[in-house]
Amino acid sequence: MILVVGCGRLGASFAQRVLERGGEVTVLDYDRQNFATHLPKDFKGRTVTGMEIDTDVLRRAGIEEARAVVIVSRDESTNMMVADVARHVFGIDNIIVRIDQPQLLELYRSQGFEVLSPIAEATDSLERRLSVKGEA
Amino acid sequence: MFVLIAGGGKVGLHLIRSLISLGHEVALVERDKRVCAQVVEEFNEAIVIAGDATRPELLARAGAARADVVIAVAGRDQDNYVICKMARRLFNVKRSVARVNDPRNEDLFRIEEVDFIISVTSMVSRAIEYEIVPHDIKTLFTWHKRMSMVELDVPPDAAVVGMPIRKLDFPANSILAAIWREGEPIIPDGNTVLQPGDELFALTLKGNEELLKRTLIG
Repeated sequence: MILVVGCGRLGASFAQRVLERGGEVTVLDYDRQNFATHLPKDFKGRTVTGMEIDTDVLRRAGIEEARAVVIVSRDESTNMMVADVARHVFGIDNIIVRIDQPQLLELYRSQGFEVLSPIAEATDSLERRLSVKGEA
Repeated sequence: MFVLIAGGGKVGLHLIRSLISLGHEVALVERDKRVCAQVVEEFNEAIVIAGDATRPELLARAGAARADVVIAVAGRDQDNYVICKMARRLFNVKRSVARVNDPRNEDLFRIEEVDFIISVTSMVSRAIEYEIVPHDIKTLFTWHKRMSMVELDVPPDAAVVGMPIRKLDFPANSILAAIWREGEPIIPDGNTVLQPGDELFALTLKGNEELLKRTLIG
């Protein structure tokens, strides 16, 4: 099972992808409205509502059985704290955490976390595409 | 001392007032522009930055790099956590203090080596428990989960009544620090004789409390 923390557009889209590839997924968000807004109506994965940084909520979401934890909410403080909770409280190795602020991204990368920055990656992609066209 | 405060709620504002009156230099980072305007008006010597204290560039502008202490008293645990982590790891601030709302988060703050953790929830529930639950032995404070100050009342029929302290078979790693007797504090020595009704205050390493209780009040 893959635990996805944060059900915004990115979390919902990734959770759906896991299911399409035949995997199991649980999505955690503090606001159940986000499930209705972002997940497809026939979503087959599990959803759990609760404060993401709460260790009891994470346990209820099955973090102890998770093969990987993907932390992609829009709230960076929450993402960073959940990443540290997953590592230090639950001993999870396979963590991907979304952080867009460059200095914090570097800090977490230097601490051995796999970091995802949609903004940095999209910026690199834009630059690459323009350079292919000889514009950048 | 230069103190950087993140969060201008009641605690943050009260701190600014008392730190400035003690002659310290203070910076505040607070999201609410109205609060910032109020602080600027009241204390023109304070550095005030309006914005999100979890953004490194705002902490930098507030002077985090030369702060002696960073105090994170924003509303949410995750923000206080990130602020303290940044203070230490990005700005090399030597001391940090954080408010923690959920006591279950305290361990994580400790892993980040936050020097002083204020958990209002823990303090309030401990105070209530202390008042309403009858205890033979009450834990007054605990430091880093390792050492405690405990309180015990000597009952009239206790074996130790009438005995000087040096005759007690005191457990290792414990010390009787003070006695409260008939409204007066006493710092005991080996010749002090225990009386019924004495309130005993002992320092002990965690895990010794039961032994201490058996030694002192049976």
